[in-house]
Amino acid sequence: MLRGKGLVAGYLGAPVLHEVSIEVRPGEVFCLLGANGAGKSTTAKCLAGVLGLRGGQVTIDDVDVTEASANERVRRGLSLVPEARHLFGRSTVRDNVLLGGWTRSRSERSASYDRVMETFPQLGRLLKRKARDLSGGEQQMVAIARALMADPRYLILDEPSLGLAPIYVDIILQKAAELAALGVGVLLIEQNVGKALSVGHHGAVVETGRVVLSGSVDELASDPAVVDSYLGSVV
Amino acid sequence: MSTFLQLTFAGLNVGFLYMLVALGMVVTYQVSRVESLAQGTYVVYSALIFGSVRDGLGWPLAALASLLACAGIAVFLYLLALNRLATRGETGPVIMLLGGALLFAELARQFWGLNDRSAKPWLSNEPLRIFGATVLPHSLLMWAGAAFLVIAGFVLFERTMLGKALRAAADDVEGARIVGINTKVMQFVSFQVAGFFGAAAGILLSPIMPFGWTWVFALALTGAIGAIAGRWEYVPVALASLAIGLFASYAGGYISTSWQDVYIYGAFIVVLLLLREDKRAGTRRRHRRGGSSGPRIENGRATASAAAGHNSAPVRVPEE
Ligand SMILES: Nc1ncnc2c1ncn2[C@@H]1O[C@H](COP(=O)(O)OP(=O)(O)OP(=O)(O)O)[C@@H](O)[C@H]1O
Ligand SMILES: [Mg+2]
Repeated sequence: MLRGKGLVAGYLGAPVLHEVSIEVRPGEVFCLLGANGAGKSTTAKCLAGVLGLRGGQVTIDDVDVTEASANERVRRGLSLVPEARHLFGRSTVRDNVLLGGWTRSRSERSASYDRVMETFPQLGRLLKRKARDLSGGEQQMVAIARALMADPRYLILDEPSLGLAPIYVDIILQKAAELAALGVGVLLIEQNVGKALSVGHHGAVVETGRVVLSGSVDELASDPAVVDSYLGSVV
Repeated sequence: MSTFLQLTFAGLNVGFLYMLVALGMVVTYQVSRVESLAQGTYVVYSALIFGSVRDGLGWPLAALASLLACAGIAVFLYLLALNRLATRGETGPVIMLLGGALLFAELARQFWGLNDRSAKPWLSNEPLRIFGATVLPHSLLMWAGAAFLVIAGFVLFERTMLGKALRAAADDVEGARIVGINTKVMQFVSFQVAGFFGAAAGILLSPIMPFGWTWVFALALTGAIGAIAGRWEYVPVALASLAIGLFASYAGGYISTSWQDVYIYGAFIVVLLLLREDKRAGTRRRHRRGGSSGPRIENGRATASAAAGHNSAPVRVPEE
């Protein structure tokens, strides 16, 4: 289980997260919902270790990784697709994807590479291009492919559909569901709340740095507040 | 013909020296985003230490001593430049390395005095004759050793996973961390590679070229010229540095040695001006002065109008 307990964090000013607690079980898609600026990405960054905590604890399969750096957490099975993508702009698409398997052996890496390229056949013709020269949607695919290369046990997808055409959004969400079926714990942050909930198992809603609601996706989808704020007339 | 060849041989000695210095800078820059002006330190200390202990220890142990010393200096410079305090400001690391170079130059002056010294050769000192020109066996060894190192560095840097990770560490620090790359280790490695290049240059050249404390900055300057002329990219910098060495030698031989430096810097300015003219689209992040009328940068990519390009000079966008 990937668990954040009482996470308190912020940037230079006042804290952004006020004791956020969240649990992602292996084999499930956990949907983190909330308005813009609610603190979803900040939660993701704290879990992945790219943002320091002011309070609280992060554990991966009951191992306390609160003090572990982001790169150490990758070795513990946690991968992040950040909202800002953070690709290696000067490197080729191929190298970007390969570097996703940095923590793994050469043979594991090449096996993963073949599998990832099967998932994203569109990347095939982009391999030699520099990542910074790709379109937003193409970059997003590279970012996801890169994260999958680590063969993570826990995967955080921060707005994976950002910039993607609707058909790819469906593919990505489908992929998230498949990964969960294989036992991966997926933390999904997604603006397409209806679609996210349709592949999710559990979820939570954050508002101004606090979890205000959590439960199964069915509970969330039937909650009047969620329906009002995020689903509207979609469902 | 024989004069030309003689000047070429002399030019190759310094050319390979400049190349190793400049490539050390490239590696440090590409991995740690620091322009290492302390790069001459390694060469000078390696050469002087080698010369000092060579008679007592024999050349293999002396070479080892030089390599270890440079590894130690590289650790020191890494800690000096990339500690938490120094990296707060954008120019912190460069200034720290400049300070480091000053310190080491001064220490070298204290230890080894004002005059340049060379080491006793370990190969034959009989010059070989090639087409009427002469070359020392040590020069041949220097060229072979430097060429080997440069090619090995290229393979490491451009063709291996470690090389990709090294470059990625500077390209996007957060991106590197979330794929599991320890960026601090990568930066440390870059300093060690740079130190090794400098150490090798010092050992290989000390029997044929005298070194002293003034070289610390002279080399930093020439290295920086090569690095800038080659735009901090491995292969172009290697070629540019070699060209600078050869050019300096020809200029010194055919025109006059006393104006040699003037030719180098003059040529450098010409190269800089030519580089400014070159505006191939998408090869570099570009930022232009002059506000709204100029082309814009979006997402680090130049827009179509920027690609078309005109008068105003490109300025490098500072990397994070
Ligand atoms: N780098 C930063 N520096 C300062 N404040 C930040 C930074 N990143 C985010 N914030 C602030 O923290 C708060 C939470 O931001 P966060 O990115 O976590 O929101 P979010 O829920 O992911 O929103 P969105 O749906 O827009 O992605 C916001 O008020 C935002 O302004
Ligand atoms: Mg966000």
